[in-house]
Amino acid sequence: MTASAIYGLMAEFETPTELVEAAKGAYAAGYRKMDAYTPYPLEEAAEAIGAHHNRVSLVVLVGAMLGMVGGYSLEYWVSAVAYPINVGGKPFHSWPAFIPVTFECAVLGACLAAVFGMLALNGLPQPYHPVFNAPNFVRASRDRFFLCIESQDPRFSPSDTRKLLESYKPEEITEVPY
Amino acid sequence: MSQTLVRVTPKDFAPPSVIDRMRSRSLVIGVVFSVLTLGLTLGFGQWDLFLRSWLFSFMFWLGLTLGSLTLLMLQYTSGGNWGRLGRRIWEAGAANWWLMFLFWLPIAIGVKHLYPWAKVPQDPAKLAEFMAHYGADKIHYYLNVPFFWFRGLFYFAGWGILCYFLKRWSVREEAGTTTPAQFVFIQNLSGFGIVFYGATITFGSIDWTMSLYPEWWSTVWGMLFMVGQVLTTFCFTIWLFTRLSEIEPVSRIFKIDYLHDFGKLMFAFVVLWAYLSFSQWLIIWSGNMLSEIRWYIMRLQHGWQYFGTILIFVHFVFPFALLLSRNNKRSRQRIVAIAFLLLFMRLVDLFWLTAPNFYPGTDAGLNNFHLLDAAMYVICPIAMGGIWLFFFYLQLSKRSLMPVNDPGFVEMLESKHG
Repeated sequence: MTASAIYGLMAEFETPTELVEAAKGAYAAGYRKMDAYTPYPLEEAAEAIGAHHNRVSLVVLVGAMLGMVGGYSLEYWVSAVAYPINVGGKPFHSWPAFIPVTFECAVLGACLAAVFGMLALNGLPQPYHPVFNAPNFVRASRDRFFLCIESQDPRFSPSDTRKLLESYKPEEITEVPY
Repeated sequence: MSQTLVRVTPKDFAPPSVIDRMRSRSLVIGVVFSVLTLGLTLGFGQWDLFLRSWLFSFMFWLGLTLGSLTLLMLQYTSGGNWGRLGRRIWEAGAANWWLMFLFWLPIAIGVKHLYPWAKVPQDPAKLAEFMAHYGADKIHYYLNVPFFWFRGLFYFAGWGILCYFLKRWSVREEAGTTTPAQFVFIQNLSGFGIVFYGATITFGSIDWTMSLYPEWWSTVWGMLFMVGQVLTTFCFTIWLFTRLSEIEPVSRIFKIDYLHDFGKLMFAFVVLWAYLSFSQWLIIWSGNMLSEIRWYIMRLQHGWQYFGTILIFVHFVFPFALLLSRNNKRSRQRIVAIAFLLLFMRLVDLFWLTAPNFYPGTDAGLNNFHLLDAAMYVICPIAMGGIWLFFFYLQLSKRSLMPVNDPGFVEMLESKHG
């Protein structure tokens, strides 16, 4: 690990378009350890920094499957094994009646998996994050768009990275201390 | 970044010449298949069969017409880019309401051949039996021929009036002579129009399809058709929009996000269709009442059960699984393939809902469904569709493809991110 005293270089942009341009440029230049901070969700920015490949959807699918199997098994066990009761002459294993519960359990499983899978994979809750050390960063939740290239990136160099960011004419570039 | 101010005019989004080619092709297909339909009908003298397949085709193409009308009104009340993109397509689709009225006339004229409740016997003894069969003569307060005609005229008049005002607004907007008050009027009209559509399609679907078997009823029937019609329109829109997005002028503003949005809406309606179809089945199956379950028994034996099974898996499970994936919704080829599959399944669904009544399952069911029947059920929708599409493309080629004077359109022209 290089003895870098800073977390990264943060560029501040006025418009989302400029941010996306810069993010695309940085990605093309080989940077991977970077993040964009915007006042509202900006799909293009997420795509530009290559952040769209995560495992949440797989976790959700597994959750839904577990919920589905669990819901159906519960219904089957209750109605056909543990408490077989004749309802209107229907067979004990009356699958159409099990579908609503199966569906609801699949949705429940998917939702729980989505929330907890998301939290597990994105590292939240995180009480401390260095980006908040950048003086103007509060405006990320108001009207400014930030791109931070982290010093952990193997290509990071204080001078070259700054030069790259400068070529996209940001309002300001700040060094983010740890 | 420098902002260049360029005034976009409707001319910048003039329809491409490919629409004219698609129009002539539709006309050729429509005429050839109409001749085939008439030839088979006259050649075999099977007017009843003609009316059956005609009703089936009518319900499908009516779905595209009314689905267009509804989405047009919905996007005026909700706003959003998806609405601006689809507006001209839906305007052209809804403008075919008069054509659907003409297509309705054979059904209105042939009502006594199609609907059992209209076949009132003259002989007093048989009349008593007829009345007893339906439980009460009160059924004829609603299901009688003059009232059937009147209701049909009323629905079409209402849809026509809605189309007139929506068209008038759209033409004015394109000319750039609108006022905000007029937009408020069109929004209010759309809000009312959606409610009016909900009521008329409920009664319309009862009149035209549910009353094929008057002994049976389902309270979710109208909703089933509503959802089916909007789903049909989304599938059609996705196909046409993707086709146009590859060429000028739509390619200039196309973003894959728009396709993603349409895909999500199509997905929602697939789920809603499954939810309504399944709840109807679950309630009737649980109740197991003689008056209700007969309708399903007719559809679950003698070959009809295969259609029901196909519907579960190909109208719901398969597209549901595919549309869950984000990548499938963002791929032109795959989303169009799913849209086509669903369009076909819409036809299968309408077939399964309407056709078994004519081939009752007590003796032979689908065995009575001969090659000629199959041919008519295939040829008739194509004939009607060719003519429908001809007038649709005619409308589409008259106007610009995008509502460029819409206040929200400017932001769609902006660079492709943000």
